[in-house]
Amino acid sequence: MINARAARPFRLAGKTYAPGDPVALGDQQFRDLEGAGLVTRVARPAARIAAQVSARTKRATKIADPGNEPPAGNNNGADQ
Amino acid sequence: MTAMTSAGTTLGISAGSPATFNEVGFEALAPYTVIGEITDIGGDIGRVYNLVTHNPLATRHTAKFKGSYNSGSLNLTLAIDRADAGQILAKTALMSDSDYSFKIAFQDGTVTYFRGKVMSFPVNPGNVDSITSGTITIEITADDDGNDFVEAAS
Repeated sequence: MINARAARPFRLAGKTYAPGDPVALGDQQFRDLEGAGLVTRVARPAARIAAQVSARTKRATKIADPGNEPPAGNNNGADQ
Repeated sequence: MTAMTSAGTTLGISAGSPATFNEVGFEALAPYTVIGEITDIGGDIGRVYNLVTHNPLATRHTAKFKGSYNSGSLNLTLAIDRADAGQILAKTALMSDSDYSFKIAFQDGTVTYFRGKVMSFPVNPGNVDSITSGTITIEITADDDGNDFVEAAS
């Protein structure tokens, strides 16, 4: 099932949907209704998590980059 | 099995194409979006062959052959509901040259699947005592292998 939201008002299977209402649809039915401009896909939580992990990885890579290394010496801050 | 009325019959539409022309292929597209407010499904849902005749002088009889065939068409009558998802999909199909998939579910649970083109969807406002209605014409198509219908018993 695909979690979608109504893009404009429509009726389906006896239910009326207003813009923004959640709609659970099968794969093909989602493509049909999306093609007709009735629904839009809701970003899945898994996709959001993947995006957050990707952002953390980028930050870690940037810190590990030799060009971003801190100056030589003791840089332990408050532990000095 | 006995006679039945057509009450409860529904017609669903999908832009998807079945991977295989059988019940499994068509059912993989489910759920179909039901076209709402239909009051009548007319037309000829089934293959009809043209008759080819030959009259040899020597025998005087008419020899008969089966020529080309036509898989038929549907003429739907319905009340216009501009928010009905099925009617909206039918309008989308009208503007497309592509075949769409259809599913008729009968009262006894029997299902017929086929592919077709939506050829027309005019609106008929009628008079002051009329429901604003429309008609949809669907021409049923067959593929190059001669597949046109899949029937699934309940």
